[in-house]
Amino acid sequence: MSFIVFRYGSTFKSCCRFGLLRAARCLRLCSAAALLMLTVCDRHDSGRASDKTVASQPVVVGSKPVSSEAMTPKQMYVAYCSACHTLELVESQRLDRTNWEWVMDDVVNEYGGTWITEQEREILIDYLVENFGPAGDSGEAAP
Amino acid sequence: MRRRPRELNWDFLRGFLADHGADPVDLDRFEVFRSRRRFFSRVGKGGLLALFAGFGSGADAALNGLFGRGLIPVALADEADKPTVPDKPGMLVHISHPISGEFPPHLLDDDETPTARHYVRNNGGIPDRAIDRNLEGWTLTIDGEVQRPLELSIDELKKMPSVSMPLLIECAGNGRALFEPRVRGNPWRRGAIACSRWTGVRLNDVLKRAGLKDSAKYTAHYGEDPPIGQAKPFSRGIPIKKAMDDHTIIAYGMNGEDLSAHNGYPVRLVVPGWVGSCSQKWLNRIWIRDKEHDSQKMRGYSYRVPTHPVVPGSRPPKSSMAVATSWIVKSLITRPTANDKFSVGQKIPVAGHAWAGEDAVAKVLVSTDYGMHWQEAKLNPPPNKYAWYRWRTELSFARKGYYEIWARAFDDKGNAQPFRQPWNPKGYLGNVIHRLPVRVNI
Repeated sequence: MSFIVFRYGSTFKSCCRFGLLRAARCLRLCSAAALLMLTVCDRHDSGRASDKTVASQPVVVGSKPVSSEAMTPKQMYVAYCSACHTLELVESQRLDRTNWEWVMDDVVNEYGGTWITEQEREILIDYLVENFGPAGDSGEAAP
Repeated sequence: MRRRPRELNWDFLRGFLADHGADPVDLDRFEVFRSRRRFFSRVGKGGLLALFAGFGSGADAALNGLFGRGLIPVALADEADKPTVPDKPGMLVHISHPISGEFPPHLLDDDETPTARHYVRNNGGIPDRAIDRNLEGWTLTIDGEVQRPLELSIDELKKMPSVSMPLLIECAGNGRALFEPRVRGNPWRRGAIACSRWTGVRLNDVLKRAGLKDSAKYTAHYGEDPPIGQAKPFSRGIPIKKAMDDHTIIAYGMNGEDLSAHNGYPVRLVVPGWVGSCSQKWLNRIWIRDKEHDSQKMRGYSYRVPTHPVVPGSRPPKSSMAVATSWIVKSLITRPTANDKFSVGQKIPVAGHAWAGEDAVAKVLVSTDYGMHWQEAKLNPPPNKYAWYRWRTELSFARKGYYEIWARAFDDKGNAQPFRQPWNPKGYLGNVIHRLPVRVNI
């Protein structure tokens, strides 16, 4: 639900329009309570390799109340990467391991985007190479 | 009488979270979500059909491998659920937060690009001021190596002599998707360029008013866009010589109106002919420095290109990288549209733009047989040095078949567009020739 509220503010507005101001406020409060959570959203669940066991519960990042050990690589990817930017950017890339390592190190060291352990770094890079590598499986043919 | 409940708004929630001991990092994240929500509340769906319609019906042909990588219609790289931006219909959104998007060449035919078709490349959020169109408290600071630091209000700026002219702004990464091997970053094709009419004050008038010291070497630009996460503010600069050019302006007008929120309201720099990141949006400070600006986006591999040709796929040492400045010779075919269908003998108007950064365009040649034969297009000079040239020609095909229209621009120094894209590690300054597929009676 929080996903819908974040992305389409019209939900709030249309509630108001139908006189459900109180309900809308409640909804807004709920969404606010969920603000620090990143919901693993459905549209990123379809069709990617390797990861058929994505859970739909929220993943909390930042202060790390949920250990990354409990996350699948895909959950980790969504949680860490989409904290700063939407995932189209990642999914449009076709990069080899050297380049993904370069990107990941820049994200951490240059852009200050996230904090990860060495182990998490390896898991994320493996995931990125497997899914968005030079011969990725999502559409465009490799050269 | 019942007490009115306290207004629930985002600021209240932020305060509430802070009061209850939220981590500063989490508060930052809150801001990101907040700006994302604001953005998406202005975003609708449903632009995709229009996008596909714009590319004609050659989509399947593009998939059969005939066209080569540089020719796959942009729409095919698109996903069915990508957002559209209400005031930028038809924009191919590469990433929706921070938003970046471009237009296909056939939508860039105008000599002066309409605001609705000016590409967007953001590194951070869009400032609240731009979304709310609120000028309260806005000033432009000029400081550093100047005799009289300035703090100008928008009214003071508008009282200074103004200029108005079409000027080119092109993202440094325009053409990145055509690099082989693939490089990291937004996969711009050919549309991260625009030549809108900008109105504003010459930067040199403002710098003269502040009085440059002899030590002034370089500018450093800052804007109001909120950085994402722990990122440093996006900042780049230009040498004083370029800052003093009559075409480098502090713009408060775009195509006769205030700037759009996406394009830098209320005020941005326009540094025409140079990589777009020099043209700081949401500008509020120009710091004059006594050396080359050394912000993060001036160093390492950011907006820097190798000083010598490098092996494709390799990464030269940082010491072999230099700041990307001017664009190089380039052209665009804006008529016809990719994959248009024609009849044998039909007269086909073909047109487009050409430009060459700091240099002049000497000629544009057109080929329909993979570069074996060329014909020269008619070239109209631009209204100023930093607007694009218009070129036109007419073609007709005597036999049916699949053809590619190629355009190749030459500058006045003898440089021409390459047939294969020379490579650099971040995919900057791509200027490979434009190839446009058409079909005749097939």
